[in-house]
Amino acid sequence: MSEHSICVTVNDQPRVCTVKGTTTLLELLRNDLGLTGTKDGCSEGDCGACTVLLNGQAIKSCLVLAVQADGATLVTVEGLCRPDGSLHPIQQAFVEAGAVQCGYCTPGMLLAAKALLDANPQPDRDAIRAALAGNLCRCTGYMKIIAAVELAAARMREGL
Amino acid sequence: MHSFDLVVARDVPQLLGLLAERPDARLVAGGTDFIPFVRAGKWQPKDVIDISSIRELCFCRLAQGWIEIGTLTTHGELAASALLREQATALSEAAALIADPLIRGRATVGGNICTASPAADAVPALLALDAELVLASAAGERHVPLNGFLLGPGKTILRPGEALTTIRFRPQAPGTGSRFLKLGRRRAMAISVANVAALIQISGASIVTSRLAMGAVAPTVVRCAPAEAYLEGMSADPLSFAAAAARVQETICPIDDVRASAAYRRVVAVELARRALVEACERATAPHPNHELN
Amino acid sequence: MRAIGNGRQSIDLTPCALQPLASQAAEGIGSQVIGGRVVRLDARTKVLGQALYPGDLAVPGMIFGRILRSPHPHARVRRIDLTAARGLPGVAVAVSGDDISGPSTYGLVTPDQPALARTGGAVRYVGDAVAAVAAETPELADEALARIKVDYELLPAVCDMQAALQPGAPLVHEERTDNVLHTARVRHGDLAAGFAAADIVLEGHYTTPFVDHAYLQPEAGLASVGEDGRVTIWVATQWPDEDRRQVAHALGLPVAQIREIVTATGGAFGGREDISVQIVLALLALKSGRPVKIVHSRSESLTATTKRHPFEMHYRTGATRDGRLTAMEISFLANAGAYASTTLAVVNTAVTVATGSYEVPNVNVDATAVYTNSPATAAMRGFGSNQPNFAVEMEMSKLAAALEMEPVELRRRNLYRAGSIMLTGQVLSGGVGAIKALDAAQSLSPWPPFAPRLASSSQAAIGEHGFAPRRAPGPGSGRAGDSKRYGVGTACGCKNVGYNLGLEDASGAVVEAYPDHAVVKIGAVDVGQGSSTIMAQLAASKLELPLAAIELWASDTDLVPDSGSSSASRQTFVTGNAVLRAAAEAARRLAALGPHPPADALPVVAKVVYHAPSTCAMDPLTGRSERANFAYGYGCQIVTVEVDVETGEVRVLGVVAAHDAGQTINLTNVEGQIEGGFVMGQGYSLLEEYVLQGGVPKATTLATFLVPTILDIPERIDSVIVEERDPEGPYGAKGIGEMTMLPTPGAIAAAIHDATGAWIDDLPITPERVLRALGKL
Repeated sequence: MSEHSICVTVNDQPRVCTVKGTTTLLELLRNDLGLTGTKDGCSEGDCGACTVLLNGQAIKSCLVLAVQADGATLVTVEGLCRPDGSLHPIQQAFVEAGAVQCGYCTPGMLLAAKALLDANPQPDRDAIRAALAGNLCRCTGYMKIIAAVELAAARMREGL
Repeated sequence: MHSFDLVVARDVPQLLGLLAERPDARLVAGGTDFIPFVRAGKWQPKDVIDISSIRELCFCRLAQGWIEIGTLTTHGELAASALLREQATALSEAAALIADPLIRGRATVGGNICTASPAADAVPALLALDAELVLASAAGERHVPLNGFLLGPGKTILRPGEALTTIRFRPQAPGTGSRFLKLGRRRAMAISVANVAALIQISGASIVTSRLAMGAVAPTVVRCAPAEAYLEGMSADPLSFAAAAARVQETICPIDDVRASAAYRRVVAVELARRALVEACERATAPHPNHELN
Repeated sequence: MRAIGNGRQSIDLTPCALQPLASQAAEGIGSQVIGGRVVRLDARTKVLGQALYPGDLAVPGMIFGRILRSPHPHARVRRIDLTAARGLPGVAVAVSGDDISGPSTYGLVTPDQPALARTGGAVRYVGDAVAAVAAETPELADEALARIKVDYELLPAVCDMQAALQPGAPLVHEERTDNVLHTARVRHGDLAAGFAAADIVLEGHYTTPFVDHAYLQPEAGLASVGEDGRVTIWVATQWPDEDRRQVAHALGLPVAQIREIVTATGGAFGGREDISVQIVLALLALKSGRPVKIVHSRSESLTATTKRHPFEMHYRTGATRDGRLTAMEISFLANAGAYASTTLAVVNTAVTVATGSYEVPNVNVDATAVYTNSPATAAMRGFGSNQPNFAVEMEMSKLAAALEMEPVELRRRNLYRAGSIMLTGQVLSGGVGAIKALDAAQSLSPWPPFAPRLASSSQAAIGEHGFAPRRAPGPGSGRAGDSKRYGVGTACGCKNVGYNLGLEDASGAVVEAYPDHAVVKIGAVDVGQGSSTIMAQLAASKLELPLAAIELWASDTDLVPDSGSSSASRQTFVTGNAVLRAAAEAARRLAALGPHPPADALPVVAKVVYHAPSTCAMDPLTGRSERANFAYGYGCQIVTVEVDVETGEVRVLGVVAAHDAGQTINLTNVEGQIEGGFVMGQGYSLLEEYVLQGGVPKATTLATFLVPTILDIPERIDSVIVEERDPEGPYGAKGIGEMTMLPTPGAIAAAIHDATGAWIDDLPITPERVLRALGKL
C-alpha cells in the first residue's frame, strides 16, 4: 500500500499530510485534519454532503483521492466565516431564511452556493437550482435554501 | 476501500512509461466512477495510476478541420464550450446533463468512454459524430473509431498498457443539426433509463445523412443503423422521423433493472429517438443552435 | 471528558457543554415571541459546521466497530466462528449474540429482534445483525469482519404478504403458529344499510411500497464505559430514555447503568425511533473496555434499518347521488417485515384514520399485519396514516368523477368538522380545521375552479387558464411539447397528534429561572424539526424574557427529564405544555421572591411532568374508542402537474398546501415542515421505492433509492397556515410534522387523472405505471 506526502492549503492554512493511495479527500479533511464540518452522507458521490471548494470549484470530496488534491487550495465550511468570527453572508442568509433544519446537508449546500455566487453574483432561480442539483436535502424541501441563496446574492452585491 | 498501489503520472510520457511497467493498471482521473466502483468491489485494481494532473490532456479545440478533445476534459468544460455548442451540439447538451454540476466539474469525457457503461451519456453524441479515438501506449499510437471500441458493459478494446488520450471528430457540416435527449427517473443525479443522440444533415427538404445512437437500451451504446439507412434521402418530415424511430427496435435489446423494465425502455426508446430526430432536423435549418428547445 | 480529534481540534464531550444553546435572536418578550418568524437556536452552530453529529465524535483510545449482517433473507445460524477475527492483530473484540448474557432482544412493543444472532438462532431478513467486531482502525474492522465464518442453513423465505398468509407458509418466527402479527377491526354503524342507501358504489385496490427515511446522516454512535462501570452512549436518536431501557433490557443490565447523550441529529422521520447501533455499541464497549465508534455506511443504513410499511388496501365506497358518503368497507394488509417493532401501533393508527378526513356513518375495517422476510417496518412520518389517506383520497377523486361533481365540493360535504363522529365513535370537538384548510387552499390556488369533467369529453380546451390545450395524441406529431398534458388535483389529509389508543403520553420539563435568564431542560430531541427553538420560545413567553436569555439543554439522560419521543408530531403539544407549565410556575415563584431575590433562593426550579389528555384503547371487536386521539391535524393540498403522455414522466409544477396545526408557534418552522413534507410526499408519490426481489434489496445506494433533488421540486410551494386552536394545546398549538405529506399522493394522483384520464392506484406512480395506465405498455 503506497503512502504519499501531499501539500494542501486548507482554509488559508498550508498543511503537509501523509496519506495512503486509497485515502479520499473527505477522509483527509475529517480524520487527518479534524475538520468535521464537512459531512459524509454516503461516501459514494450520491448526496453532496461532502461538498468543498477545490481550487475554487465545488466538488464532492468523497470522490477525490487525497493524492489528487496535492497542491490544491481547499475551502471547507470552517473557512467560510470572517476572520473576526462573523458569518459569511451566505451563512447569515441560511440562518435568517430558515434554510437549516437538521443541518447535515448545510455545509455542502453552503459551499456549492459559494461557488455559484463567486462565479455568478446575480443568479436567477434556475441558476441557483442548477448549481445545487448535486446536493440532497431531506428536511427542508429546498425552498428556503433557494431563498437563502437569493438573499445572500443580493446582500453580497450590496457589499454586505 | 479495497487497497491498491497508487502512482502519479504528471505527463503523457511518464504515463506511458508507467503503463508499460504496469499494463493492467487502472487509471483514475475524475474519480467519479473509480471511487464508487472500487468501494463497491466492482473494480479491484492492484495498481492505479492517477492521471488527473496531466494538464496537456485537457483541451477542446478546432485543429485542421477536426474538433479534438483531450481525454481529461471534464464534462463541465465540454458543456461550457462555445465551439461544441455550435459545432457538436448533441455533445454539448449531453455533457450538461450528466449527473450534477459537482460531478461534471471532475468527471472526464475519457472516463465516460472507457468506463463503458451502457448508459454513458457522452458516448451517444460522440457516436453520432463518428468520433475517433487516439489510443496511446509505449509502443505508439493507434486511431480507432469509437464505433467498435465498446464491447460490452465495462469492456473496451483497450489493450493492457494502453490509454485513451484524444477524441476527435469533424465539426457539424453546414445544414447539420444534432440533439441529445436523456430520460432519467429524476432531473438530476440520474443514470439514464434511455438516452439518444441524433444528427441530421439536410439539403433542401431531404435528409442527406443521419446518425442515431442510443444508450441504456443495449449492452453498449449503439448506433441504430437500420434507422439511419431508412432516413437517407428521405424527406425531412415528421412521418419519416416517426418511421425511422420505430426501426430502433431492430437494434436495441434493453433489460429489466432497478430503474425500468425492458418493456418500458422499448416504448420510450422509440419516442425519444423520434423527438431527437425531429429536433435535430429543426436545428439543421435554424441559424443558431440553442439549448432551449426542451 | 475532553476529546481530541487527531490533535487538530479538541471536542469537549462534557455533557453540559455539548448541548446548551443560547439563542442568537434577540426577539421580543412575552407573547411577542409566539407566532412569528424566529431564527432557530442551533442555526448558527450548524452553518459554522460546528454541530457535532455522532460521526464527528472522537475520543482518545477509541476503536471502530462494524456489524456483520446476514446476506440471506431467512436462515438458521448453525455456527458463528469468531476465531480468525479475534486472532487478527489490532482487533480488540469480536462478539455475537452468544456473548450477550441478557435476553439480547429489543423492540418498541415486543422485544423480538435480536441485537446480534445466536448460535441456533435465526436471521430473518437480508441485513439482520449477526456479529460485531471492534478494531484499532476502520480498515482493520473491515478485515476482521471478513474473517468471521458463519454457517447458515438456508430456510425458505417468505417475501410476499399473500404467500405469508397461506396455510403452511414458512414461519418468519418459528415459535408462532402463523405469520400474522396483529389484526384490528372496526364495526361502525350498519354497513349493509349504508350500502343499501348508496346510489353509487365504487371499489378500489391500492398498494404502497417499502420506503426508506433516507435522512442525510447515516446511523452512527460512540459508547464508552466509565470507571464506575456506567456506559455512556452518544447517538442520534428520537428517544434517549427508551433507548436506555432497550439497551438495558437486551444486555441484562439495570437501566441506571446506561446513560445516553443525544448529539446533533441529522434528520429522523421515524427512522431513529428503533434501536440502530446503541446495543451493539454498549456491548462492544463493555467487552473491550475501550470507547467504540460505529458509523453506518449508506448501504448499511438502507439495508439494515427500518422501513415504511407496504400496504395493500381494498376500499368499497358507497355514496348518495348528492355526494354524501354512506358506507366504506375497508381492508388493509400491512407488511410487518421481519420483526414487530411498532407495527401494532402503526396498523392501529391506520385504522383510526381509515376514512381519512371524512365522516362516514357506516364503516367496517379489517386490518392484518403479516410478517415477511423483509426489513422490519416501523415508524415513518405518518405512522400508518399515509397509506389510508392515499386510498381514501383516490376513492373521493373517483367518486367526484363518477358523480360529475367538483372534487373540492365533494370533499367539503364530507370533511370532518366539530361534532363529527369518527369511525371509532370519537366525537370530534374543538380545533377541527379541515374545511378551513380546504377553503384556504382553494381560495389561494391560482388555478381555476374545476369545471365538471364529463366522462365522454376528453377534448375540452383549457387554454384560457394558461394550460396547453389538450389534444388527442396523434401519429407523427412533432416535438415533446405536444405530448404534455396538464392537470390539477386536490386531496386532504388527517392524522392524530401524540400517542394514541390508551398509550400514555407524557413529557417532563425543568425550568431553572433567574431574574434575567433561565435554563430549560427537556429530553425532547431536535431531529431537525426545530423543537428546541419552540421550547425556548414557549419558556420565554411565560417567563417574559427575551429569547436570547433562554439556555436550552436537551437530551442528556443524566441531566434532563424524559420528554418522550420526537415522533407522532407530539413535541410541541406535549413537551410544549410541560415547558409552559414549568415556566409559568417558575415565573410565579420568582415573582413571589420580590424585586431582590436572595442569591441562595436562586435559581427557582420548577419540574413538571405534563400528561396529555388520556386516550382510550380500541375495543377489539368494534374498534370503538371514545377518544382514540387527543388532537388531530388537518390539511389540504392542490397540486398542478404536467404529464408527458409518451414517456409517462410526471412533473409537479406547483402546490398550494394549507395546513391546520392550531396556533403557530414559529412560522418559519411550520413553513419548513410544509415545504419539506410536501417534497417528501412528492418523493413517496412518484419516486421512492425500496425494491426487494426475493427478499434481496436492489436499492442499496442513494443512486438507486431515489429521493427528490432540487431540480425535481415544483416552481412554487405556497403554504397557507390555518390556525384552528386546540383548547388543550400550548397557546392552542397542535402538531404539523407528519400531516404535511399526507394529502400529497392523493393530490398528485388526482392531478394525473385530470391530465390524462388515467387512475393509478399504486405508489410510486412511476412513468412506467403511467404508460401502462394509458394503455401504451
